[in-house]
Amino acid sequence: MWPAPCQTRNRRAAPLRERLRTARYARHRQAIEKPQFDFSRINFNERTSVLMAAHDFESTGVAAYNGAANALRDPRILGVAGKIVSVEARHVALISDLLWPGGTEFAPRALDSADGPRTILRKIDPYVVTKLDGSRLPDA
Amino acid sequence: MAAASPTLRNPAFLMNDQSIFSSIDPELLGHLGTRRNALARLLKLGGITITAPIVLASLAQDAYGKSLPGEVLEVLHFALLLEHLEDEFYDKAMEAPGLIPPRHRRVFEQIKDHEDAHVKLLATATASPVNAHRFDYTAGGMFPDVFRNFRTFLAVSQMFEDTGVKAYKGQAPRLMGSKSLFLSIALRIHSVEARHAAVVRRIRGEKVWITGSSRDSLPAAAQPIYANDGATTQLGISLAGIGGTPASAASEAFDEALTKQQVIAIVRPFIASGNLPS
Repeated sequence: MWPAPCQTRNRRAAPLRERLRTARYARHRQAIEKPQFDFSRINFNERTSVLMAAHDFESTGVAAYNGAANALRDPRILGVAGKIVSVEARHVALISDLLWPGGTEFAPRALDSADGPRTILRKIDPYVVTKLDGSRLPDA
Repeated sequence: MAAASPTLRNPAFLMNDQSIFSSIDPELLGHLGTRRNALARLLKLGGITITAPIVLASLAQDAYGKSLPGEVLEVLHFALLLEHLEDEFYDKAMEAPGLIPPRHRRVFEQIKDHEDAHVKLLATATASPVNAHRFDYTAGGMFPDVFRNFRTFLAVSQMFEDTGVKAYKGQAPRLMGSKSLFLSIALRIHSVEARHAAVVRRIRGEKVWITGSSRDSLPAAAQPIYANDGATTQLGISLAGIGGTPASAASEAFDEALTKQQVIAIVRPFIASGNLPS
């Protein structure tokens, strides 16, 4: 997955990951371009609107990494995906605690979601302008 | 969860208006074919006391026939030991009078319920109903007031949660391939442990992620947990300095794994008796 398009957390880490992905994509024969996003539904002047979107993106990120794991064949790639997904999970817990302090939303379930690529593409569709075709992705 | 008393051990997802299958991957259910319908019928027959993790674990067993591959079993036993360690820890903490301030109780009740669900799942999958280990949460006297002093409790909690994240991460590659059913389960626990770690770190006033190999305000005994976290190279790509990215950010963006041996060395002081995995 491309980076969760979220400017509200770790500002420095996000572009870094993007570069790492770009480097990987560039080495790949079927490199894909960075999609265009549409954040117009987020009110950047309103704290809750931004945090809710961030929460949405980070939760989707966790479910996406978890759901994609079974499609990976190279243990090194699985390893690095694992290193990223737990940071995403830390982000979502932080944002949950900002939105609902002291509540249980930071970890709503004992097992996190794991969504396949097609489910994830549906979820992020409202924020993505570029037409994405997931029909040839494995849906675990 | 507000209605649950500390003695109730219901996994959080059973408190929601969700079908018991909602916590289980669609792909897992697909994998199991008609077995799903049989189970769904069974669950509809009323008087259901079985929990979702148990369903999941028994479904998983079913997918492999009665015996799990040896390496899978080894990983699950190791995970079960760590989950027992956490589960009993939170049980004791919730019962310790005055330890957890009222405004933090919901958080730790939730974490406790999750660890309990993880134990049930792994115990069912490995057919190990009894915890064969006894724990010493003072770690031989290193944390004498762990159940009397909230700060000490929080420090040990963070140690367990960050170690848990790194332990699952280190074992994940061993569950790849034909054993992928358990890879999914392990990863779905792994990210929940990371959520726990983050919220505990936040209560402690720390950043939710790890910078370099810093243990922040944890005692020196915690240093081995963060031994690998100084890494700034991933997949052979050196990330520090790219576009002015500081090394701190390059390390924060990735949570490093711990090997089984590293994890065992970290938790050994907390294990009073019982066999340690090799």
